[in-house]
Amino acid sequence: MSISELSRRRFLQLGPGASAGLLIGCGSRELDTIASFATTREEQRFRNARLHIDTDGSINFIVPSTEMGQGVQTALTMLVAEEMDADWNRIQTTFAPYDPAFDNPSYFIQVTGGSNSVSSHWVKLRKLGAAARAMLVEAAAERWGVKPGECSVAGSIVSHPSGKSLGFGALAEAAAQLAPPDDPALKTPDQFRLIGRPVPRLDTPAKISGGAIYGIDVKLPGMLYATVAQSPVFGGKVASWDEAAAMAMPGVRKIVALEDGMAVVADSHWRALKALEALSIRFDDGPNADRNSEEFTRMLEASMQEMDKEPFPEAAQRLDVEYQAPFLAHQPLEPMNCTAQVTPTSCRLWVPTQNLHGAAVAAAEVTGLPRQEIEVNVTHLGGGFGRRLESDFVKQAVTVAKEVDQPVRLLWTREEDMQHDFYRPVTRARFQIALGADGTPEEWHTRIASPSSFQKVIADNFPEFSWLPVQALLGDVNMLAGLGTSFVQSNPFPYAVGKLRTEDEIMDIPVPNGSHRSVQHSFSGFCKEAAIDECAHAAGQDPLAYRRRLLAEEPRYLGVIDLVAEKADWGRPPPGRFQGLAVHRSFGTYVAEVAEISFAEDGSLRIHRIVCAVDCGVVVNPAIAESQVHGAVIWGLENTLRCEITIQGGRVEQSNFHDYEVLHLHEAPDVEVHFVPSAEPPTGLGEPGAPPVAAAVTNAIFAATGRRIRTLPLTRHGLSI
Amino acid sequence: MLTLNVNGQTMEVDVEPDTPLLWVLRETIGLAGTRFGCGQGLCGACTVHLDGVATRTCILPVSDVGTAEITTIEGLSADNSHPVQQAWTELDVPQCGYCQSGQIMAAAALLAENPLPSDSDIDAAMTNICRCGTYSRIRKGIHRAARLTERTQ
Ligand code: FES
Ligand code: FES
Repeated sequence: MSISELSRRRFLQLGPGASAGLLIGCGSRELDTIASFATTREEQRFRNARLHIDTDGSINFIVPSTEMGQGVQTALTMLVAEEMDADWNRIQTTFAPYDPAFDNPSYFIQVTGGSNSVSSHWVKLRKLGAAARAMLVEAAAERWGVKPGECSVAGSIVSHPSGKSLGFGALAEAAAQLAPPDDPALKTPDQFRLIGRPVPRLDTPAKISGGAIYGIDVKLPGMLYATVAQSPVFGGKVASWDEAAAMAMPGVRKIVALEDGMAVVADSHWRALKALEALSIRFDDGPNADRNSEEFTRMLEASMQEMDKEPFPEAAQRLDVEYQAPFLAHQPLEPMNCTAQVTPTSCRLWVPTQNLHGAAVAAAEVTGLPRQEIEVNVTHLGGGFGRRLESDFVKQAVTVAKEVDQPVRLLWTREEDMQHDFYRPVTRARFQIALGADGTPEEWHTRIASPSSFQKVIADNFPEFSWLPVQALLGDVNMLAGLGTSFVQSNPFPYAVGKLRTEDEIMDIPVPNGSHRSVQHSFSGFCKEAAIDECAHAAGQDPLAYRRRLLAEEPRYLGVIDLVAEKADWGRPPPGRFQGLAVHRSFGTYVAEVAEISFAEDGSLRIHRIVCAVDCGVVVNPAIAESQVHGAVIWGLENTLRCEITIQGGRVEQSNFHDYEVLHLHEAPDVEVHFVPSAEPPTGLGEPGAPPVAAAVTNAIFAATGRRIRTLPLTRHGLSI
Repeated sequence: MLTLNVNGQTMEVDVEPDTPLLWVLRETIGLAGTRFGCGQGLCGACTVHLDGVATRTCILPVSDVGTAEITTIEGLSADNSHPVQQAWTELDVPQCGYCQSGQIMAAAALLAENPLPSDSDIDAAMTNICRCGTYSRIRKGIHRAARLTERTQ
């Protein structure tokens, strides 16, 4: 892929074959309705087309989700190619630009998140492929004067038992004249040729040659370079700056004021950085200058006091325990950036984002242009993890680009990224649990408290509804994910306990928060699975057998528990080693994990292996699926061990990877991933590996030492690897 | 004007001498495969070879490079044929891929110096950060590349 491929020109001119061949797509808002755009005007044809079969047989598929490493470019293409029976080697892909045709079928806006790319496109994209196949077959049958049902397709070639055969390229133009079928039949799983196989990723060659284009690599003629400094204290403002000193630096073109900071525009990134230093910005710290993490914890502790003082006086046994996990940063390796070109009548963006819709909303707000007029081109993302659902950096880039005549690439330093993330919120929960004589929980009361980003998400993405006090009316419907049973929660509390009661409080804490890989599940997977382990031990029962009994009506939970028990050899760890179990469902996917640990002579923790059993329905690509679960486990592990964002003086204390210590290669344990064979529709994979890790590890620590860890990270307890 | 030797070519660059080599490669010369992750020598995304040695370029002033031969990911091979790239292809190592230029350059330098590295050699040499958690495939990839190299010799 070259830069020119990212431009509008490329999107409109697919090359010499653009005006010929079969071009089909899905109607903007009508899910699962397939319409041919073969007769509409060129631009419309391309913009709405998901699939283009050229007369030379090459196939271009427009990938509707953004690729941030999770492998959707390959997985979604597999869905289409499977039903087309296409020659995998003739397929090219392009990332979809901003257009309602590419809205996420579950969210109705163009956003990639919530681990749902494959599940939400599972039927839609296979129908697209099946429709293309049916039209190509019909074209061949017409030409040969045979029945379509007599033809077969493999490797982009339609064949008839008489010996006739034609390639997709030769049939494309005739197929384009046909009406697409309304509801093409889909294959049954036993007919799959691609789905279920470890098909090599389409993006690997470009990612190992250095040639893949990330946002930071976009280079346009005449492009300028911008960088920013924002108020380190949340809610602070710029008080003063030395514009003359900065403008006197070489290559500097412009100084631009932002909402809570300043941007410098220069003819190179390094010159912009140096001029930013010379700008000597002084900030007015504002009302949050004395806020800190200890105070936030006290607020959360106070919220927990709202529960019963003396719960369940009659119970045979009771537990009354509190759990807490800290703020966490995302820190994808590619720092936040966006390239923008703005004129009075146009706004073009090149941006690594999960949220093209949000980017367009932000750009529309700054420019005053209608949202539909904003052109958003997406690049490869150097990681997303939820950070790139936000459009703060897009807004800055557009603000800066408005002030200059050239396109501008705005790029943050790592320090800005660390201190201006949208953090996984600090969260505390209290469980009051009454156990009956047989050890079964008869009552299970949960209270949870944390800040919420619910209202902000609505304001950022649906500004037309921002006047609605949704959060005040509904609370944060996701806060109890995995812990409650409300109808809006697709992943309810699973254990058969007598009476479940939940309550929550949204805390007013002045630190930005947002979706962080697995979102609320990163906490609920920890506290729920540690608490159930506490119950099992209080009941004097094996934690696995105890869970099995309370999940007797949940066959898919049992499936992953039994598989992980087998693979990890549950109950029979090697001498000196200890095991901990956790099971959690998130994004529709069931994951059980066993951590196997020991303590070295010097008291340091050794994590030998994490064994995972996963039920995500049909596994579209086992090699990619393995990498997603594996990566999520590493992610969950660093957050268990030592990652933590702390606040002092209203600002984040950490600034780069020396004090936000993510996991390194030499610390990564063996991770084994096993899948439960399934014919159920696929569910999420990018996130569900993360939630069980913390409890698997802390439950193993309890097994080893009798010490129950209820607050993360482990470094707070003097434990490290 | 400074003279640099990049991927076998001599080039003149007109930049402030304190400019880190990373930005000279990316913006002045136009070799964008070497990436920026932290700017403090902590993540390795900006790793290239200087006379064959893996070097982090975000903290290396271009004026300190002198006559060293610079090899970037673009100069490692023209067609992903370096054993490390072959192994990376076989194992589909990258996820987001952003760290991988640096990982590959670090791995190639390790193998050049130590053709059959042990796990602990790999632990010691591979200090680059991968936020996607591809570490186990990187480790397997290095062992695989070592075998591929052995076979071709
Ligand atoms: S960018 Fe150079 S080490 Fe991180
Ligand atoms: S593959 Fe994403 S940072 Fe390494």
